[in-house]
Amino acid sequence: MYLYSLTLQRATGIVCAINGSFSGGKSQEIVVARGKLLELLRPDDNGKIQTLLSVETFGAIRSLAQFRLTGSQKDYIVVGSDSGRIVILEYNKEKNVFDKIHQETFGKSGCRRIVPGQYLGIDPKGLNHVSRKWTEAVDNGANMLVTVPGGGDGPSGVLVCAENFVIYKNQGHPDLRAVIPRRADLPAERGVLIVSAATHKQKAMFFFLLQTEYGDIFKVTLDHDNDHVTELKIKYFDTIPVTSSMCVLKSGHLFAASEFGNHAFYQFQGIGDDADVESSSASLMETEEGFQPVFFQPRRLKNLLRIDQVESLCPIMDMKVVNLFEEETPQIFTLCGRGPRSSLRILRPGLAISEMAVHIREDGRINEWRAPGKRTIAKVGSNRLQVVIALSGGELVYFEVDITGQLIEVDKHEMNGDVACLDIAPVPEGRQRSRFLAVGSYDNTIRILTLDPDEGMQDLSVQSVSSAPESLLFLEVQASVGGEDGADHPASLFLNAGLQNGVLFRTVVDMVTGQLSDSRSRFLGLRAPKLFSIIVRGKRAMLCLSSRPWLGYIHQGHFLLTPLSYETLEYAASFASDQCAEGVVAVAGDALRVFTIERLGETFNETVIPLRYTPRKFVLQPKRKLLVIIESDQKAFSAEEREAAKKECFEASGTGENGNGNAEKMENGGDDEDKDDPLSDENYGYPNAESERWVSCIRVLDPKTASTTCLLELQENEAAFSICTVNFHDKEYGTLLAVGTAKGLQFWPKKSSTAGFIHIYRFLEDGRSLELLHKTQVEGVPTALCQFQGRLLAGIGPVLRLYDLGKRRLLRKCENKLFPNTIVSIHTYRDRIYVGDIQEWILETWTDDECKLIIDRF
Amino acid sequence: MQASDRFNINSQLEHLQAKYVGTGHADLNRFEWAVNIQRDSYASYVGHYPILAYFAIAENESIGRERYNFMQGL
Repeated sequence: MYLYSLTLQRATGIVCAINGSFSGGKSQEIVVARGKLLELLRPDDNGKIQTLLSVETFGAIRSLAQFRLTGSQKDYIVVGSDSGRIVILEYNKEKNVFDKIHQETFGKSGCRRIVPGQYLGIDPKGLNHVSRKWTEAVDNGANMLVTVPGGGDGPSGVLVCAENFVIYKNQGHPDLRAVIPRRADLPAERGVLIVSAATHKQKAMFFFLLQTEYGDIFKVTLDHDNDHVTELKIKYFDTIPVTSSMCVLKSGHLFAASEFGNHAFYQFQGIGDDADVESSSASLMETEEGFQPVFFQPRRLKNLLRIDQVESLCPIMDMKVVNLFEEETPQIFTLCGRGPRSSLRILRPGLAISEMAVHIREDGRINEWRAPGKRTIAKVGSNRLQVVIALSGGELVYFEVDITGQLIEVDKHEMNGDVACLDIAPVPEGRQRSRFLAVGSYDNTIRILTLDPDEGMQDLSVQSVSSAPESLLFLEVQASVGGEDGADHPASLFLNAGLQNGVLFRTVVDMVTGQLSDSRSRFLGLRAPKLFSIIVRGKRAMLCLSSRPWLGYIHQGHFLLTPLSYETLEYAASFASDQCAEGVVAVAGDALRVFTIERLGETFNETVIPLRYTPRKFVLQPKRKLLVIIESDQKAFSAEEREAAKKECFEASGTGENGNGNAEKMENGGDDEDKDDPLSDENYGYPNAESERWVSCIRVLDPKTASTTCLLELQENEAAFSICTVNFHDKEYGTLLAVGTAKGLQFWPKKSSTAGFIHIYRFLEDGRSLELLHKTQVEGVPTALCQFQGRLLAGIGPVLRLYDLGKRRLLRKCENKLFPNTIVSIHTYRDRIYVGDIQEWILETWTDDECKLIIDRF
Repeated sequence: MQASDRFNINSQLEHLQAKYVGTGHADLNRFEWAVNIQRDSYASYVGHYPILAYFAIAENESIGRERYNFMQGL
């Protein structure tokens, strides 16, 4: 069996990121590796990140680095992957591609121990040979190296990041060691590791930003006089979600590629020169138990201001495609995220719109046209220099704008029957008039007429279509050299027609002869699409208004037709003002709306609903259209414990250096959960607990109002792992909810748990809240649950068991212990059960008359 | 003759083992064999970012910490 796949949404998580000036000059861009995608991003003038180029490499990219040859104006990209080769790329601005400049093969493909590719070190001034100059044993717990600028810019050497320490080392130079400050609430046995580093270098000075695994960023500076470093200082800078890479741009911005969750783009408000908790090599104190630690408290963002976010669905824990909102297309519900940044995201196909203007109510029609003529004017088409009007009865009158700016009638033409719609092609560069007029008639034809003064409005070509055309629009595509496939594309002209049967008809117009060829159709909606020309990203694009609005535009060399996530519109036009450079004004019902289109090239737009812990699975309540989600996290404190800890730390720091602002917030708002909360968990993570502690909750969510109708936190170290809705034989309680939990689950040194349970809940208040009926203890972790013939199937380790509902607990009916490893999923179809094992394939099971479960085949 | 052969075989094997990490031989003991498998596994986890992310979510640690743990195990 062969499966054909189409990527709807490319990978959004970022593996590594580098910044530099890849297109030359003053521009700063960011090159980002998303698994097997290599992308070039650039912040635009408003500070929003735009994707310029996205390339599939069909390999796993493991590392990126940038370098610049002396005297060159731009940076080059070095890519380390699993291909067994190192590749140097150059960004070609004109063609918008990456050119491969050099490729060196050194080993076999794959992520092997003996083939390099994981780490890259750059020195563009190095010669052909790299010789080992100096080796020194480092701390056993060292995990990262950061280059210290050398030559004339600094003392050179290297910063070794180890667990709990940062050490400066250089050949022939004594080591300088400083402790990394710890959060006050960190358990004593946990270390502090640096996971991400960025260097900022200016003419006179340089500094490093190092981020720990908890999200705290520290600014590291070296006090030096030429080659001799006297002090290494680590000062607390800010706290942001943990990143896989950070890039400091020369424009004063920080791009943070988060490990999990949305990536962020910050602007530097300060460079950490104010007083803050600092640890220095000079003040390092050694005691019998080790080195004296330095403690600090995370605080509100002071040196960074977030100006943009790049959405990321990483990691997706569960996903369903359902139409819960009764819209035209179903929505994709994904559970994303980890820890406090978890969310339920509802994806809808279509571009996101941001509304700018308050709705204005206006009566009356949009425009009136008065021009000479005895009959009424039915339709009109125009461009910068030419106007054609169609009078009732099918007569066309052609006007031109002369040198003085007056409209002069040039020609007339009789059509057979009324004209449905018409359009004139835009005036080509350097010409006085456009040659082509397209006329759509009610006899299901589209004609191209010539507007040449010598030829007198003759038919150039005729095309019959499936239904009467409602609206016509010419769209010109500029000539381009190169492009994605390397071919040259001359300028081309497209004629688009919206037909009465809801189809968009698109055909190529030969610019010399006016012949129509290569036609395509696409069904857009239940209404005849009306076509309007607007400007998006500086280029001509087309709005097709059918029962949904669609946008047709050229993006990265392709013509894309994407629906807009918006209501039905009647008419639209381009709109520009001081606040909004490229907007659209449109009529919807009897209101006028002004909006802009935020980001092009994206297939989905998201609605985000935040969750509390890492979500694991969710199920639907089909009748009530509610979602039930289970969330759980290891090594975290429960909500009450966190509240108590927060109160304590507020009281402790309320009168301290953080000022009175926080204490007032506590008095006023109590629990301030919005994103600007200085100590919001989303920004600085949940405090760490011991590894045997689990927190978990079951949540009933109404996606229409984005509100949680019921939230049950599980007690006593239980964590939920599986969930399903069950309809037992006994219909007393209606549809029930079964949740499989584990108590005291541990993964190291070996997977073990104190106990496992299956909870049965019933729905109250029309499905909005849950009530526990009973808990049944089982001997392992129930990792899979499923309904089967009025009973509950549970997969507990390698055992598949069938349960019936009892008054105080579940009753075992039969079981099968012969499964190879752990059961992870159960699906049923009529009388067959399909069980997925963690290592093996899917096994098919069935029950016979005596109610035994028999494994059939795999 | 036999002694010098054995000498040759050993040094050849060591050379192979240095060049191709993880090469075994007939008398390999269980522990060494398992250690090779474990090290290959850790190297694969570190090289494949999605697997690293999977472990990080399962254990609720940062990806950097997981990478460090695996490197220590190498």
